[in-house]
Amino acid sequence: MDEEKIYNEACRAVEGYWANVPNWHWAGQDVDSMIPPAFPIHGAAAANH
Amino acid sequence: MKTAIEGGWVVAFGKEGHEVFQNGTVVYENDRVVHAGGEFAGEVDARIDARGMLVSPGFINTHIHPVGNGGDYLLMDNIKNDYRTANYLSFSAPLKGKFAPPAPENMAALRLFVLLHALRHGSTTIIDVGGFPGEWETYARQIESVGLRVYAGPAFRDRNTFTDEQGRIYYEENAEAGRQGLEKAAAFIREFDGAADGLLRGIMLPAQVETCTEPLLRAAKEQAQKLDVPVHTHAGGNLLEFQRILQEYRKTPIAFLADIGFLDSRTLLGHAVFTTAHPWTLYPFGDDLRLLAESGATVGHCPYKYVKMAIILRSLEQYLQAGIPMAIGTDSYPMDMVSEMRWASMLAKVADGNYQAGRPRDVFNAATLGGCGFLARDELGRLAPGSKADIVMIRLEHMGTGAFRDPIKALVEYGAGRDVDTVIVNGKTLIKRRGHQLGRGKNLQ
Repeated sequence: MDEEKIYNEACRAVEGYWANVPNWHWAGQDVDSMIPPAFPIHGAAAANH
Repeated sequence: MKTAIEGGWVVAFGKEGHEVFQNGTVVYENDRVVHAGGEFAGEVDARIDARGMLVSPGFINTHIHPVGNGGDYLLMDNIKNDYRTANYLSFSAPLKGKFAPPAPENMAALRLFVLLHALRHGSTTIIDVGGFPGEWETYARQIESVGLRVYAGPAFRDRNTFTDEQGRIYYEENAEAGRQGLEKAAAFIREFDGAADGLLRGIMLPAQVETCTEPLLRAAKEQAQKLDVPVHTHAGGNLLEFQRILQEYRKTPIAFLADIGFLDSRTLLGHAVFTTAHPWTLYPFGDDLRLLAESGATVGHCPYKYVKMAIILRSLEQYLQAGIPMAIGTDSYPMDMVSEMRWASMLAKVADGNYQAGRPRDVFNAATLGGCGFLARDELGRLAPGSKADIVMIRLEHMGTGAFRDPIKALVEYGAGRDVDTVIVNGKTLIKRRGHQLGRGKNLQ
């Protein structure tokens, strides 16, 4: 099995899920306001692959 | 073909339970163990070098949501700025009509990742406790390809949870959805129980004690008995649920389930944290632990998920002393049973203020034997002649672990799922030197 491919596809699937959160959250919050990152993150948003 | 695993610390199963053999041997032929313990005098066809490793029965992870745990762990995370849906009082609920499940291809991608992730971290059997509906044929093919044992089924409920535009949680009954859900669950079990070369087995999944009415819970248990499959529900999982059940039935969730006949030796309860034993319930009546013990139901304990919310079981030691069968699950990310055992062990000590609580013996038993009772599978969770060849080899003798006398203690106190080196399920090597082997020959890509 191509584990890198499986991991990357799972990450892409999850990012789509996270991007959709404001659509169903009662206050329209996005993930980063619901769960603020530990430190400011500079550069590409949420990209770990 | 007979294969011998030699040179490692073997956790064999004897008359009294697990016992460890230094420089031991496990021999398996096809899908069964033929020897586990000291030296094997017979002929073998192949040998696996296990020097420096623990050779253990594979772990039974009693709580995974294959789509959710692959992605939404972040939403259930410990610092979530939403008190009412932070999984402390309740769980996340969307605006009605606004939530769309992930596309089938995304669900499939997450499921495949989760199956492989769980396997790599030492689980050889997982209990999929439900979540998003999926394409079951694809799921069965994925299970066959990855090679993991999975108990699964479509979860169902007849009360949905939503939040309104002011963020208030409410429940909406839908009896027809519950009835159809139960029918689909039974149909799934009839069609898929035993699929994927016996790796996929059915389990009845009424979702949560407060999202299923009493008639649905009774009907689910009855169907599970007719189909001879285990049943799981989430109960004692959060304080809102505890209070809702108390308000509706004037009983705790555990007492309510006991009274309607839902609890027996084929029942697995997810969490069972908020019981009469937990001080936060402030409920001075009855004895949920006695009810659980008398019923024979198993509690699937997920310590890491709960400690992320500053909640601990009160306590593992009390539950064991009461005679409750205890198993371990993850219900979060990572699906690392080795780390989960450590959390269970350490938090048991904190819960009771007793450094002798949470013994490595008890958490290891929970992660192996604990999952066998409600599954009625006494050929899992142990290495003994006749047991299934579900074997995990875990690296122990390295810089990260150091010197040790007791490998079980070393595993629980210093080990990690990333130390898993080799995973064998049903006699097939699926993970070897940390890389997945194409176990079944079906290329999904």
